Amino acid sequence: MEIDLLFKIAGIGIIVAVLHQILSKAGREDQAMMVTLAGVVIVLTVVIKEISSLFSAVRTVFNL
Amino acid sequence: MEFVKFSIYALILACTTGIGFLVSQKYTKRESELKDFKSAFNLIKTKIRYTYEPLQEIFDDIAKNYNSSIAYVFKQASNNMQTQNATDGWNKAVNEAVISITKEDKRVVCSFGKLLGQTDSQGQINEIDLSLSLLDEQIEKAKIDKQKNVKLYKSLGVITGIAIVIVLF
Repeated sequence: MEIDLLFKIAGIGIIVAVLHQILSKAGREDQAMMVTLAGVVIVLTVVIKEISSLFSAVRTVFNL
Repeated sequence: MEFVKFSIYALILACTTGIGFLVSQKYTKRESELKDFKSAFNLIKTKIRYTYEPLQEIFDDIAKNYNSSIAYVFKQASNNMQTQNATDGWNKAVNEAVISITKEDKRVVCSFGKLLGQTDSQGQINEIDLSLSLLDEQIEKAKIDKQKNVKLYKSLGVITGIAIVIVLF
């Protein structure tokens, strides 16, 4: 696994946190919520490959 | 290859920043246009009261004196008045103009033309006073909107650009 991926996820996290702050300061709580959800979905799509490789590693280790 | 990639990232960032800036500018423009309308209406009121100039001349005069986008509205209204009555000409000019004010603002600005050229000067002045007080309310609203949204859209543009670049990186 490359370290780049971690930095990418950290970057998205920071950006989403800032966006959430800005939107909720402007009184748009629902949109801030949507942005947070979108951030979660984007990060999930980025890490889904790594998760699947983790599961297959667990399978091979325990011979399931 | 690397260079092309980074220039595309820079382009995306510049685009979203520009979009954010343009959207925020709409709110600034709306307020200044409403203020321009207010001062123009005051000018028209004074001219109706003291000079008795024909409306078309007053409108042409205003179109010449103001260099913002509202000058176009007055010019168009003055042109329309050659074939239509003052109210219809004014409404058409306001509704067709490409300016930043909202639909609600346009309705208030249109109300200014309701009695234009139809009653005596006192009636017209009263009508203009009424639309001026309505316009003041709209200016207040525009001010609040501006305070709330200008900063928001500016930072939103930049941050969205950064987010897209990070996701694509």
